[in-house]
Amino acid sequence: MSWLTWRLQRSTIIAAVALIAVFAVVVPNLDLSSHLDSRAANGLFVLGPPAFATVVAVFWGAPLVAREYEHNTYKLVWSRDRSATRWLAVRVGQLLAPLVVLTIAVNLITRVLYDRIVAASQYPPSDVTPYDLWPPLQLTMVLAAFGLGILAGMVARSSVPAMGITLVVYAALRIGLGMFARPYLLPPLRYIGEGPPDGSMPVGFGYLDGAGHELSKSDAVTQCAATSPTGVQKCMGSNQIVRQYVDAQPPDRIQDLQLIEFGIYAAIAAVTLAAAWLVLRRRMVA
Amino acid sequence: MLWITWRQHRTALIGTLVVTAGVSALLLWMWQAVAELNDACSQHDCITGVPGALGDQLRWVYASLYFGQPILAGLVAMFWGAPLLAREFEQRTYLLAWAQDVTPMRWLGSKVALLGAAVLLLSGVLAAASWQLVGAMKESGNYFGMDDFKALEQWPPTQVLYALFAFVLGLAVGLLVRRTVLAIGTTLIVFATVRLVVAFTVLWWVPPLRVAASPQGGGLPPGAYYLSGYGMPYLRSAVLVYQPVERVATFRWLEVITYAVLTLVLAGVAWAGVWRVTRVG
Amino acid sequence: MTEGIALAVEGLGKRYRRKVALRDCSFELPAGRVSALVGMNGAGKTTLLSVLAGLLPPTEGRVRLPAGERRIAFVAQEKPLYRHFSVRDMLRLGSKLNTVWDQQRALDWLARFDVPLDRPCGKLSGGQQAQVSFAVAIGSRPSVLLLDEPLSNLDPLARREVVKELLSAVVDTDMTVLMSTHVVAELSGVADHLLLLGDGELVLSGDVDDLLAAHRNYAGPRSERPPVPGEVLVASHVGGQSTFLMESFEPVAAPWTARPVTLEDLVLARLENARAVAA
Repeated sequence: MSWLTWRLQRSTIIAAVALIAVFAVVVPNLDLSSHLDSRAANGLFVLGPPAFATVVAVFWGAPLVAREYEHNTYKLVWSRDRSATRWLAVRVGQLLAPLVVLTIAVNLITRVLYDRIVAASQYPPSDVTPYDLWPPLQLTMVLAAFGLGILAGMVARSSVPAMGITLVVYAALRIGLGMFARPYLLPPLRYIGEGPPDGSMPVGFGYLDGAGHELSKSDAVTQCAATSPTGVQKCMGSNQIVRQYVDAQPPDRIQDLQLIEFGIYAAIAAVTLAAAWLVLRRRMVA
Repeated sequence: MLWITWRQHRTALIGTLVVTAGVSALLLWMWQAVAELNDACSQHDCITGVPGALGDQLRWVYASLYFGQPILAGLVAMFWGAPLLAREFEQRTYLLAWAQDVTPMRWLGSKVALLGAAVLLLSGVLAAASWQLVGAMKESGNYFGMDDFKALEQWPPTQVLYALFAFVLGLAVGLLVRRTVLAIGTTLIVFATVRLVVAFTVLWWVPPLRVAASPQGGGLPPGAYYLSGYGMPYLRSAVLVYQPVERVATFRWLEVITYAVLTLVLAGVAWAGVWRVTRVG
Repeated sequence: MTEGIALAVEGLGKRYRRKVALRDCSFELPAGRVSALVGMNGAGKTTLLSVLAGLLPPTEGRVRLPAGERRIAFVAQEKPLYRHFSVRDMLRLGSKLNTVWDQQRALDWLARFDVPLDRPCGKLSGGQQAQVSFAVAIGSRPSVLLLDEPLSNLDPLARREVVKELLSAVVDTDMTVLMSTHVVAELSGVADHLLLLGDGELVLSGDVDDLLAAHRNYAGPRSERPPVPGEVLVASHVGGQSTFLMESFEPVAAPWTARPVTLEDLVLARLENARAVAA
């Protein structure tokens, strides 16, 4: 990292390091036998890594270019012999190293936290690492956040709106992709009559008629799903429902899903960074 | 001042309005879904319970309930509160705005009153919507495990004050830091810390009760919130630490009063800060 | 307060944590005239104007305004504007923030300098931004207009135009103007009252005509002593000749000659003197 990059970004880098340090101190000191601390542990486990990625998007990415426009310093730093595109490439390139190191740190601390949560729970520990903690996936999530922030700053040319756009878009992306789209990244397998194997990712369930057609979740079907055993029989009979199915992703598919999601985030990172680069080049030529 | 406030903050206002409208619509939709299933289950005696019958929609219920309010308050803190003074200082426009006939104190007072009213309105709508959903979930019986303790933070007055606190916190940080991006970051950190500390400690602010649980019987009274427990092997029983259901109102008001006091103190800080900068000698 | 005084300052001082920016300043601004606040960079001009504008609390002393209408407009050195506001929005802001607003006056000013009304202020040139700041200040019809380095962003042609317009505004509206500058040459024909600030202290104040009349350049044969009684501001001895810039208007006999001083000479001499005393 050059002196200039450090000088421009030191407050955000120091802040990120400090937050991660607090995370690292809190994790081993949680008393997981207490109900409140275990709630806190679960909260940290679920929200810690996405929060880090969001902070990177909003505070590292968005102001990077926007601030240069806002303070008119772009006139100073982008000149004929130091092209703007090169400036961007150098800034991004030099911030990548700390970004990767910090992401790995977050990953490791979260793994320690996960191990502690598993050890304290009554359920038998499994050797499956949580989906999000696969390092390549987590890294591309952070890089996509960074790219998104830079592009937003490029478009808005003003820090605060760029930060707002980045926050809303990245949160929507993570919630949408992580909570809702993830089970459908591959067409789920249908289990009829039997349950999916242990460790599967559940997707949904429903009912089939005699011909094997899926029945729409009309009110009658919904009620069948929810009525008492005798009621279900009668209800199903009167609606020609014969079988119940469960859609799920079996455990051996999880890795493929992770790979696909990794690809999506990698593509977002590549596209946003390339778009920022192209927009800047066009703007400087025009 | 109405026009000026609108003109300066319209992007943040519209953006937050869109997000709030989206989350509120989602909350009301989920409330509708849960309420309908409550109805159906009361007639047919559900086995899987309402959550089971919700199927895929269950994720939306929790997402809207637990993310909606913090996102609104966070947006208000970071994009309404923090830039309000920080940006005026950073771009030196306070030299323009505060040198007019409208005194700086009236300028600040009008802006805070107008934006504060908007915060009140938006967070009120969101709080009302999420309280509807909480109500429907409580009606579903034990399946959701929703009760007044679990929904402590969802109580509408708490939600509204919590959003107002977020706004005033941003304002005060902006005054002290005077640089927009730094103010936004500081606000986010302080806000998240206060919010988490209050949420995780509030149930300890009143000394909890203890009860022995043994195979012979005894245990938590109905509706109580279990905090922690420790075993007493020689007595072949365990001691459970809990808060009784009668204290729900106490904790609600504790949280409301905490946020109200913090809001007033921070508003006072912002007020005194601007007054110090511009008082005429 | 006396008739004809737009603003009076008594024992004004401003201390920052370590540095003293203003020390014991007392003066009166004559109403309906243009006064110049002159001083080198860092002399405390901006501090004084900010205090007068109510944007900076003084550590000591006070500012007094005549009873009734007390309306001060201030144009800061940076000419700050809301970058995303269009020029029209800026005028609207001015109208909302002031009890008195003359839209036509502001529009006339902008039209005079060809400033486009619909462009965002952030996209205007430095000179145009300055014109928008002036238009907002003029539109509020202040009784006192404070301008901090008003001409610094303008090209020479625009400077002359701005000065002309300002003077006609002063005549039309009975406005009092106090403008700061560190370029003394800018003042000729503009200001008729002078406040000279050296290192946070008021070195000199008074009507320009009176000040010029009270000072003379005396030249004559080499001599250690001036030809007339009075305070010597500058003495120089070159070859067989001596020159004294003095606070005096006594006539002299040959071989001495007396010449009037220029404002620039006077200002520089006073500032030099103040620095020498301080050192």
